[in-house]
Amino acid sequence: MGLLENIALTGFLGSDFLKWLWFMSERNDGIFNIKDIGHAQLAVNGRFRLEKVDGSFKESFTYSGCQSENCTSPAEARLSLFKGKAIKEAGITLIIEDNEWSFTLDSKCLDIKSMKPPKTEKIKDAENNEDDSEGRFYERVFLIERAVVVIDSLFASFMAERIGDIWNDKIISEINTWLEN
Amino acid sequence: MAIISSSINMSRYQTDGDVSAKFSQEILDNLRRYSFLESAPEDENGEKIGWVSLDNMFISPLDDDSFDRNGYITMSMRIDKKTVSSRTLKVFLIKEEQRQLEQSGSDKLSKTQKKDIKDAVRMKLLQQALPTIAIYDFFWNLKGQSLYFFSLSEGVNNRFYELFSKTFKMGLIKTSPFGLAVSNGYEEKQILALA
Repeated sequence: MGLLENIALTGFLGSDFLKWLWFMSERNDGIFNIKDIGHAQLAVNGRFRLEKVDGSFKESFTYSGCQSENCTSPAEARLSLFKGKAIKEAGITLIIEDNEWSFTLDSKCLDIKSMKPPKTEKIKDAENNEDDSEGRFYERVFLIERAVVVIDSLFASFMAERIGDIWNDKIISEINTWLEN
Repeated sequence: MAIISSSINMSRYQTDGDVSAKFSQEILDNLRRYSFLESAPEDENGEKIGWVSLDNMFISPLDDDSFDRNGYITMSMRIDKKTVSSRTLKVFLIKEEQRQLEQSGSDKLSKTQKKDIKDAVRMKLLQQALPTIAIYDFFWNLKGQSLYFFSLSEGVNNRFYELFSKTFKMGLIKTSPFGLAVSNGYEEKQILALA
């Protein structure tokens, strides 16, 4: 079977990952231990895009953290997940020490949308001049790759549970209980 | 520079091929060959595409120090596109058709004549038009074989894939949950069995 076909057949993995991530972040107070990084705090915040796939019919629902009657707290999004919708995108806030990232993670390719990396101070170059573009480049690459390391590490943890017996024996029912409440 | 902007969109890839810190002369020649050239003509779609320096969109990545940054390859893909609005084309087409009729003295143009006139008018207007310029950055971690391209547009990613493959003679594999699972050591059939 070709790679593209395999990717299409396993498209649910990304949605399951985002659902697992949301569940785990609420269970652990958002604290995860990431290899080579240490503690990272992660929250799946109020921005979601859910999709119901019913045969050939797709419905998309976007929930955000706004206050209008059409946009509610994540509780309604959880209920929608319980009723069979899949997470296509989720807003994430990631904190490592004093650095905070916010971004939207896409379930299909784990692409990163609208990432706002941590704010940093202006870097001076060797001549003590402001606006060292080289330094800013290396700093930005470091911050981007750090966030990606966290995502990939969490995905690895997810896969370990998803592949194992623990998923059907335990995790599914825990997630469903959490979704219902 | 998209890499250092306040809000970033990124497509993720793994490179698929032998990577060394020092590129062969063939690759360097390809990089020069596929660098963006202001003086090059547009293609039939009014487009020009090529590599430019991450720090300077007017020069090739090979012409400054930004191309190779301590194990990271960095540059941008520049796409200049000229377009002619259908309304503008229509106005000039009518004028030219009338001119041709007056010149020839006939009262009707054949289908072929109309097509030839349309192509000529469109080409002339394209030459006069100013292009829209789009710059898409990427950086490539050679050691990790991971690449980050700063656009989520499918069409732009397809163009990038094509240009990258021609230049570096290797494939790009789009990151996916399936691909990540494989890179974590799970077998294809194990992963597919989860469906």
